[in-house]
Amino acid sequence: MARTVRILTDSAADLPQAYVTRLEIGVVPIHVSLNGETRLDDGTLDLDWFYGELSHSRVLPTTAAPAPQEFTRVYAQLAAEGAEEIIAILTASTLSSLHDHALIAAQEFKGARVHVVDGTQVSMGLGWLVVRAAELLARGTPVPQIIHQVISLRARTRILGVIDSIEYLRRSGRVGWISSAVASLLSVKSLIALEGGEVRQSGRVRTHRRGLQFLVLQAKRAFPLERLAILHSGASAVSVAQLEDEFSALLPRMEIPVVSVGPAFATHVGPGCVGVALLMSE
Amino acid sequence: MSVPEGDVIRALDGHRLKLMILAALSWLRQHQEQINALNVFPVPDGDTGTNMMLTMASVWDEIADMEEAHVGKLMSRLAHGALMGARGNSGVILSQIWRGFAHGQDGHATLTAESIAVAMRVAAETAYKGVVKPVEGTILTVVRDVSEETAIAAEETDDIVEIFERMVASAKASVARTPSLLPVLRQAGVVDAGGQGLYVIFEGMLRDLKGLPVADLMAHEGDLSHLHLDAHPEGDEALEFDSDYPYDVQFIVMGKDIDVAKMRAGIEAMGDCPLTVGDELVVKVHVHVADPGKPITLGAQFGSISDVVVEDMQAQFEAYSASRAASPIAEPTLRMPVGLLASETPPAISVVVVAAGEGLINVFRSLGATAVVEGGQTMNPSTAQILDAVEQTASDDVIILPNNKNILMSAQQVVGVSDKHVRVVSTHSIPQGVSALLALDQSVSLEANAEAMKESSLDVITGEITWATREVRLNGIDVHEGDAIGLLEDELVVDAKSFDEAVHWLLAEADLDGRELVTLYYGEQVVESQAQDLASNLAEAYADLEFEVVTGGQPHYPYIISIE
Repeated sequence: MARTVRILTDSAADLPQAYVTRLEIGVVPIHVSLNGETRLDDGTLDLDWFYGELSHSRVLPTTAAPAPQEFTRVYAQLAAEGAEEIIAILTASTLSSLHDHALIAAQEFKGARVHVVDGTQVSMGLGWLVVRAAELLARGTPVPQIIHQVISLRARTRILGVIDSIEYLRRSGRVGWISSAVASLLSVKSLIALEGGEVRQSGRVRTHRRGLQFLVLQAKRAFPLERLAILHSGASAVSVAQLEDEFSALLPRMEIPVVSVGPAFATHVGPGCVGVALLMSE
Repeated sequence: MSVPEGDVIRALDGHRLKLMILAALSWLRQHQEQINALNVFPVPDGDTGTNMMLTMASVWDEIADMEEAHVGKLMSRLAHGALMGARGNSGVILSQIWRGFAHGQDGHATLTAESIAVAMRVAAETAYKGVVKPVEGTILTVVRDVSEETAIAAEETDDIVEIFERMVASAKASVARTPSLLPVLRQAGVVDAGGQGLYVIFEGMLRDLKGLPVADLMAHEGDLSHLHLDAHPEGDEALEFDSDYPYDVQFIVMGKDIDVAKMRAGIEAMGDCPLTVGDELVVKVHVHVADPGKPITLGAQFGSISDVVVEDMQAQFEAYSASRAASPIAEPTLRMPVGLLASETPPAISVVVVAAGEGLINVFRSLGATAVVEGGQTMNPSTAQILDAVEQTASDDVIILPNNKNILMSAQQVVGVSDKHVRVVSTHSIPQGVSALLALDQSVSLEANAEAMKESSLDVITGEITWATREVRLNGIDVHEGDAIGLLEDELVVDAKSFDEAVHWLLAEADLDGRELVTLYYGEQVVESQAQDLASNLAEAYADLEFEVVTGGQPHYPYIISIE
């Protein structure tokens, strides 16, 4: 049965394949340049290898938004599969030009009605919005209501993370306050919060252990939750397991996916980070 | 020497009291080192004498240009000077004593036996009130004993000289009694330094009253001394000054197999107040001399010289007595008292920290401290200096991190005198201060920050490595002069032959359960490669811990250690 409405996102949403398949979500891959070679973030990249490159490579990988014509190709493909309307929910426009490129392509595209929504999020913060939109769609919710819902849900998404070194964020050049922050003379781990398309520092600690404690504490302040995903960019299995245990105990009935973040997010936060992506209850 | 019969003094006016204050300052200046040496811990930074002297210097600054016959009026200015100049806990308590004395003397034009008794009673009460948990066997006991004796004396005589004689005698007896009241003094074999300082102040006033010399080696050409001489009623013309050693010289010698005893003998032959401490690798020298070149030349024969500080003590003293119009922070002991970070928009909450050492100052700045008041164990900043830093910040809400137990009280004083909303987060050490500052969150209230920062400060264990300045037996540990010693959370736990060894033993004493990171802030006596080598050795011994080496540049402490 061909769907006449399709949900589309970009690969920076880090949406696990199970959701993509089950909810028939379209994913536009972003570009990753590493060691002079550019490839698509289409799920074939070995993430553990990539995290290693982030630590060791002298030249940091870079990511780039797909060009408008690439969006046009994806729209055309979905239209060919029977789509009459496409809801594209994409990485925060404050952090990437994905949204702008999608919009340019949408304005020219005649094969279907394309609605482009700024997800104001990234990784599973964006992923949860996409999942909710797809679930609403599956329940037969009309398109305008889905868009309205996604827009109002944006304010209820938040990513919390422990960043080993703010140097990756600084080099990404996408976070204003960091460029003016004085480089610390001590190794300091930053707690960051990403919401409304903005990254802010929500705390500073010196040890990983304290970082995890703070992370759980800050997540608990956002309770009650509808969804929670654990994110990491190659953090130790012990840290990830500890977060899984803590949140499983706090949220016994919730399915909590553990997501290895893709190259887009990983490049900007660096390797070895942990975090959570939340969808808060109303 | 006694005052002749028929010349009994029954009342003193402001002019006379002013001279007695100057005498107290001079007498205290002369006994400063002796009081500094009365340190419970044999660490090289006992400076109760210096703190009390600088507090009295601030008192003098305040009244130096006053021509005030009315004692009550003079006293109220004097008390203000004490408050603003209070340094260290003993300085703060001294300022409370003066405040109480001034309050008790309020409205009285002259000082009489009766009014002194009242003023001393209020002084003792005020001093006790200024301390959250009063401890007996300290300056508090001494001021109370003196006030009780003064009350009895005032019943029996109206001769002010006799009143002061009995005050001094009771102060002396009370100081001698302090080790029997405070076990830690008994253990360390010293009397209470603050109490001794108060005794010296009273004695200086009495000596002036009786026409005995009080001047010290610094005062002979200062702005004050001629005033003192000219105006002295029974002026002893034959005042003697020891002006032979006007330069205070300090430096560090680093070498191999240094013969400390030989160097010490050479230094001691050169001048006054000699101090030569260290081990075969590092020796710290401090001496007052006529020619600052001589000790440095001697030191160079034993190794390489660094961290040379030569101070013209006379110039220092003159600066202290300079007019009040001068900026209160323009004091020579604080070469860079306040450093403000250029900031485009003022933060909602500014943080003023106290730290010594270029590296530590930079660490605090990099973590977002708005202003750094230079100071620490060895040079406790005054209330006025901390206040000035607070006032200079662009924020209405200010948090102070004193980073030292002995600066806590001066910092607390700022809360009462500043118009801004000020909170003191009672950090006792540099590691606690760093940990507190990390918790700063501009998006929440001053109160919430103060609470979170205090909590965060308690996450760390502090270790400090220094050297012993004298022999002592403390906590069952025999310490010899020049030994490396380690303090864990302010408790002496380690005596060792080298600083590195002391760090190893200190970590062995610490509870490392659940700890991940050890930061070594190395001081001015240590070079980076040394600290890195130590960290590598430690990393081998403690595989579960991460070690970080950070340049601190702090004086007196080769290593400050943060365990978290």
